[in-house]
Amino acid sequence: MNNPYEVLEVSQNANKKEIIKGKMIAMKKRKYSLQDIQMAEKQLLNPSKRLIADFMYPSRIKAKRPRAIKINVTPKDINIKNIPEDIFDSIK
Amino acid sequence: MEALIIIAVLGIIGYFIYINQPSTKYAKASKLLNQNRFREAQAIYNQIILKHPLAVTKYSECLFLQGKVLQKKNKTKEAINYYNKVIKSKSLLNSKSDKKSYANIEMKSYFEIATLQFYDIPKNNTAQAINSYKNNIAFIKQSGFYMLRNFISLIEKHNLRIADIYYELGLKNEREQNIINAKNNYLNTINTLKTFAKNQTYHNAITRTEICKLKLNENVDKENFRNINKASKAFQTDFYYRYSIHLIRHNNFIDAEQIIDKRLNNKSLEVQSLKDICLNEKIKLAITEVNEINSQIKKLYSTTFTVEDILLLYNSISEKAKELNKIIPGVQKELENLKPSLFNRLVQSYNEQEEFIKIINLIKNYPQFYKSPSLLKNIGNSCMNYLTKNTLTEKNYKLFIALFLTSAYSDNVMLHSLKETLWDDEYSFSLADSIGAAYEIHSQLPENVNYDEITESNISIGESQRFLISQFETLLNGQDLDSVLSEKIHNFYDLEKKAIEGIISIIPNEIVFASPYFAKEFNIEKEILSELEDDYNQYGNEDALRIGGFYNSNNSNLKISEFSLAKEILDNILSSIKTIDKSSFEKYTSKKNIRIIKKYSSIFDDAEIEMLEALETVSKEDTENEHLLNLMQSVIKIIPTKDKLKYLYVNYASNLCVSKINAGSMSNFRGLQIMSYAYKLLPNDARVCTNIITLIRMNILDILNDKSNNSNTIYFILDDIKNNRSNSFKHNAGELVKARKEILSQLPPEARTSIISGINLNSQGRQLKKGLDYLGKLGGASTVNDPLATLRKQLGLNLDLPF
Repeated sequence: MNNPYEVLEVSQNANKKEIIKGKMIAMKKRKYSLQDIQMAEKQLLNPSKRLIADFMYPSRIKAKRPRAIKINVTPKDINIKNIPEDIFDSIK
Repeated sequence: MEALIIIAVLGIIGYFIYINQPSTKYAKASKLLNQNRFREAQAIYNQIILKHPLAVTKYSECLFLQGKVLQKKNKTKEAINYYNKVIKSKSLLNSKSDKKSYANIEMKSYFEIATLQFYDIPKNNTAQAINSYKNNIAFIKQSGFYMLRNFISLIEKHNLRIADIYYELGLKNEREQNIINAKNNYLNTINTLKTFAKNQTYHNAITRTEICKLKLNENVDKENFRNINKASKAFQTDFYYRYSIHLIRHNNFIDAEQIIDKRLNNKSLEVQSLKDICLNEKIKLAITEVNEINSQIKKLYSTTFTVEDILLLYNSISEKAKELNKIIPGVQKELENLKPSLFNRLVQSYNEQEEFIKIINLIKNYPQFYKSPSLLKNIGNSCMNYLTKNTLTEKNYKLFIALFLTSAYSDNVMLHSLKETLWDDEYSFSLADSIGAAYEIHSQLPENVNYDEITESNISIGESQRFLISQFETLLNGQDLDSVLSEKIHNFYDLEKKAIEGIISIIPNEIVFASPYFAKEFNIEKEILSELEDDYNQYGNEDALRIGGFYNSNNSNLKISEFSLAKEILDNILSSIKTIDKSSFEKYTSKKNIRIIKKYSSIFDDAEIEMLEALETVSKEDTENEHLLNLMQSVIKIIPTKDKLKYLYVNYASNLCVSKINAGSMSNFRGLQIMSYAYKLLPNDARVCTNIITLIRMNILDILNDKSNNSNTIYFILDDIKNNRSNSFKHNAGELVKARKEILSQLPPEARTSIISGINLNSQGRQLKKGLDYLGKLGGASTVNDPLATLRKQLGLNLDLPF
């Protein structure tokens, strides 16, 4: 089973006009067979079948566009060589 | 006179002989010894050394006691001199001497010398002192007595002292920066003490050794940490501080941080600086890690980043976020925000690759995915897509069926789909016949959804749902499976579907309506069970408990468990009826079990019907089984008001008795017993009455003809019937009167008169009279008509008479 939205290259929000336009473009592109294209159109123009089509193909969950993470901390400048070793000398 | 002189001379000679006897001398010396006249005693003992076995011992004792006297006067050297003389007198021992008694005095002398020498060593912490202690130990060891307890204790005192001196020398050297020497001194301390119970010096010496190692930039021995933690607090702090610096210098920041946190409870600037260095290092690492993630985010938009890379990032990001947030506050939220996007990419990629199991696993692991209509939909369509391309297996069929059904039966999944799609205005959608949840008002309905009548422009959501279900069923039926697995799968599907439809029809609230396997797998049984129990409590709906049985996998809900138990009991009862197993029937129909069944009217109603049906079936299959009659009697006790059951018993009993008595395989007495029970059940049934009347006649004749051994029981049964004669019985009892008349007519007139009057009767006569009296009383004519019997006669239906 082909995803009718993919066959006609239309979004899930496509209206009747866009679906018909999608069919025309798909026929020109000849990526799918005429039968597949007609079936896709039929499916999307019939609301009951379109509901089934919508069920059959994965939908996305709410997501933000991934962006680079900002770093808001900087390391302090401390040198271990500057730290005295005998601070806790226990045999003085 | 001469004789007297001879006697006197002999006496003098004898006396001299006597006083020069060793024993006499020994006794004299001992007396002197007791008077502390040691020198005099010593001299006498010396004279008899070769003659008396204890002389050397006593001689030595005199020397020892003189030593003791001098010791008391603090004349140590002189005392030691005397003790040494004791030791030297060992050379005087001869073949006659008692060596054992000498050894004792010798041991005492050695001990006194060693003790005096120990205390005589100057109390300074020098190598010379150590040598002196060691020499004295050597002296003890060469004595041969060092294994004795007091010698061991003395040697221990020496070693403790030696250890202390080494330790003090170590401290001195360490202060003077002779670290290598100091370390060796501490090691000597440790070696000296290692055979003794570990004391503070031992723990301190170990700590100082490890401090020396750090000063020499050597690695420490972690095995020693246990001892270090028992050393003085100042030493511990000194060590752990130096050790933290050492670790940091060797870039071991993780261990350094742990040591600082755990062991350096000190708020000094220096300790804080060490903490800051460790934190700095973590910050650097965190920055590197975030930069790495940022570079991966960039790659997300390039083709080089594979699905495996995305999955790796997706699976690791939460853990990383949690850790990084400790160093870079706020970063966790930003990183977690990446997950949904990564998730969508994975689903899309797997879908393109038709890797539906991967989608299912991904969604399954998403926390509470079943609360998200998108995810529930995705998992449902993945199951369906999987079935179009693959075959179910023993391992996965339960999960896939449960996931699909839970998804397809969710109205929310469809509503969400509608929300996501932009529909042309002319269409709206109706939930009027949806198969999903029964709750009437969804919290948020899309604008184009309603509950109105379905028309051409108001599209049925239910139709689409049913189509999906039928598609799935078609796919299930089309699976190429062996018959056993196929049957399992279909049975499982039917039960899951029945259960989810059950809860949808009962539960009015908006919960996750899951199939039983789904509910168990994702731990949401409790909510469903609670809703079902509420429904039962509120409306007494036993269907809620029945459906609950599917979801009560671990018997957590007691009410539902009890209902299931009642059902199980009923199943067992029916099974025992079908196998005519009375003992098993009685076991399952215990008072307790019947009480449980009666609590639930739907089960008890079923029980009545199903027990009757089971008995009917069995009675048709096995027409002459007395055990079945017994079983029927037991069932009648449980459901005494069921007339159909009584008729079943009565007919079965009548058929059985007629058949068996006629065939001679049942006694008249047994027939009477069986039919008397039938008469109690239906006293006005014409067939029962005619049969029992005939049996009464036959049993009385058996008594009169001496053919029965049960006359008492027979009369007992007859008494019972006599007192409860039904109209139908009376109507049909003419046979008994007739029998009485016939018997009387066969008697000679005198005998007949005697029988009737009851006078002058022998035992046989009395027996005959009794039988005739029962025939008369039971057969007492009645004018009452039995309409049923009349009807039977009119219809030409045969009664069973005569046998």
